[in-house]
Amino acid sequence: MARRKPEQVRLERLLRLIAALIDTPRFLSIEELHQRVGISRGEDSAGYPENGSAAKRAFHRDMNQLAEAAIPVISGPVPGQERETWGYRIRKQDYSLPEMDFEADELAALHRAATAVRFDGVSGSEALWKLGGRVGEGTDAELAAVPVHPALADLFQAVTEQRVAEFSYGGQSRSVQPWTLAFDLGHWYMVGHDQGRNDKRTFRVDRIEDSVTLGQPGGFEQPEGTAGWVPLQPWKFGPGPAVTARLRVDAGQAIWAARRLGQEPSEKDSDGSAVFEIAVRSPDAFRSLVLEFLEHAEILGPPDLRADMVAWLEGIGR
Amino acid sequence: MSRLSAGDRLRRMLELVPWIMSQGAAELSEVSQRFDYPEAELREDLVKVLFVVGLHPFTPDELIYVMGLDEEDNGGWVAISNADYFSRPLRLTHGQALGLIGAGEALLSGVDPDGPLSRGLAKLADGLGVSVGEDLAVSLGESADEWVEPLLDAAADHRQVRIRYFSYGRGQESERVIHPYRVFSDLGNWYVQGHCQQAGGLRVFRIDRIRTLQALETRFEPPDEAGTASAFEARAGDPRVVLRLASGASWAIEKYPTDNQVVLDSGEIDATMSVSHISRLERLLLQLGPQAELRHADAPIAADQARIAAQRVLARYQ
Repeated sequence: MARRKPEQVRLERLLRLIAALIDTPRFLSIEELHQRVGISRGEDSAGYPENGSAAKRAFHRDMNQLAEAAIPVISGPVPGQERETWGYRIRKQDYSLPEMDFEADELAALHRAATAVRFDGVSGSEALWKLGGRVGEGTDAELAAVPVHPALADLFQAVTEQRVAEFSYGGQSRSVQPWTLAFDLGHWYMVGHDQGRNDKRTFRVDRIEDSVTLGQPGGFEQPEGTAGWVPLQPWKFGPGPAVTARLRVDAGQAIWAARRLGQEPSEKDSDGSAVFEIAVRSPDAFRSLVLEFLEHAEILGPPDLRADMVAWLEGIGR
Repeated sequence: MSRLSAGDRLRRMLELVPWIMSQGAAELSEVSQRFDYPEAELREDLVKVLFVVGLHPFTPDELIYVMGLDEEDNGGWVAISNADYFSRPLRLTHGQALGLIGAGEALLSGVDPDGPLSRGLAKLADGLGVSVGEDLAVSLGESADEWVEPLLDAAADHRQVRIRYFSYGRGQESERVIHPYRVFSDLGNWYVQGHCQQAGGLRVFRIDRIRTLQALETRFEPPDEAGTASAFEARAGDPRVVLRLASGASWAIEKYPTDNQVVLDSGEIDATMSVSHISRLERLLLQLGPQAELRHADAPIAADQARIAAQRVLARYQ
């Protein structure tokens, strides 16, 4: 046999190691794993070095490589040992993808979707290999890049497995039963029941201040009718009672305004401008909304919201 | 593709072996394509590496059987057996599941409910225990329904389109003929990037401001390299500003990409930004109010651009 490249020799050792870790009903000690993978007999021979400490270093390199490939190696005590010894194994149920059996056109459609909408830092190809490989052309025109926050994968796990999530937000620690993750208007949100405040809350995922700690699977039951996402309209959320604001929007912006507000105008004038009646609970968020239109919109009432806007602009315009 | 590392080989091998086993036998060229594994390397790794992987004590009955291939270049198919421990692909990581389901979900509105994407996504979500739209909702833009599809078609066919477009900055509608190069979503809005015949150059249009659209019979020459577009992509010659933001106003940086950020001892941030449209900067300045100060502005942006914009809006209230 022709000489092999070093990465091929390494690949053989890694594959042997994984096979040994799967093919066991119990945790195996490092020594047992060395034995089951074998001893290297030269550059072209896969296995661990004979020297004990060199073998240990090589083993740890391999374990890092397995972690990088997201292979679920777990550790625990090796049974029947006088001195407590730590060992490793892979449980088949942790390792194996459930049967899904995709048709070729379904894989091709998922492939196109994964190339059209890229989640930053997530390799769509690797996910597709697991499902049976990339099929079809994909698309070379990326439609959208979706930002990914480090906590997002953990929160997704929490939502799908009904685990309580604990994290720090706005300088306070929160304990939340997460119901829905949503990407809207360029940001990720998590909606759930905040256990400390005993109320439904919406969190900006990128404002979560540290890593997320997850509770046990099935840690809560989601009430009926709470799932899903209502598009974001921050002016609707606030501590106070709702006031109805009247906003005039110029003809040119009227269609865009109807989309942004998620409602039709209550009046239309002959010049094409439109008046919207908007329920406002957060005056600050409402002001930001109105300023998106620059000089193409005007708050008609109530007088205090109109006066707030004038005061704000005078503060800048002095 | 450059030479594959041991890690690259490992990840692909763990996914392609179960796929070949599930097929009974597979064409080497198809395996190479599905798993992005150069055919010559794949042949070598199957024959020289996988063939000698197995369980201790590595007697022939403990080794993986790789059939149909030899080291020479004859044998276009491959079959694998005696590798029960590699018979299922690895589970998706939570990040991979999020990315793939999210990408599919983002494109789901408007596709055929019995089409391959709907079916594939349903199988995937079902297999992973995820409720699409309830656990996860991904919205790339409000206007996705109307003009995105026809523009995608026109871009794929290299057909010119005539649009009536409302320019937010100038406050008026105009008719234009554009060569749509790319359709993309950024920060919650859909855009089309292309050559505008009226402007005589490359422009980015917001799709929700397109009033009418007509695909023309005339074709256009596609550009050599459309590149990755961003709505806020800086063009050479765009003026730059330095904005000093109060420590509580860092959301402005998340919303508008910056060239450079310096955090001062006071906690304030000096952010350098390229300004492609003055109206975008004005909106930001008015929304931030006292939380932002323009420290530097290239012409034609005025040092007191915030005051100018505020006066313009105030005029509506007088």
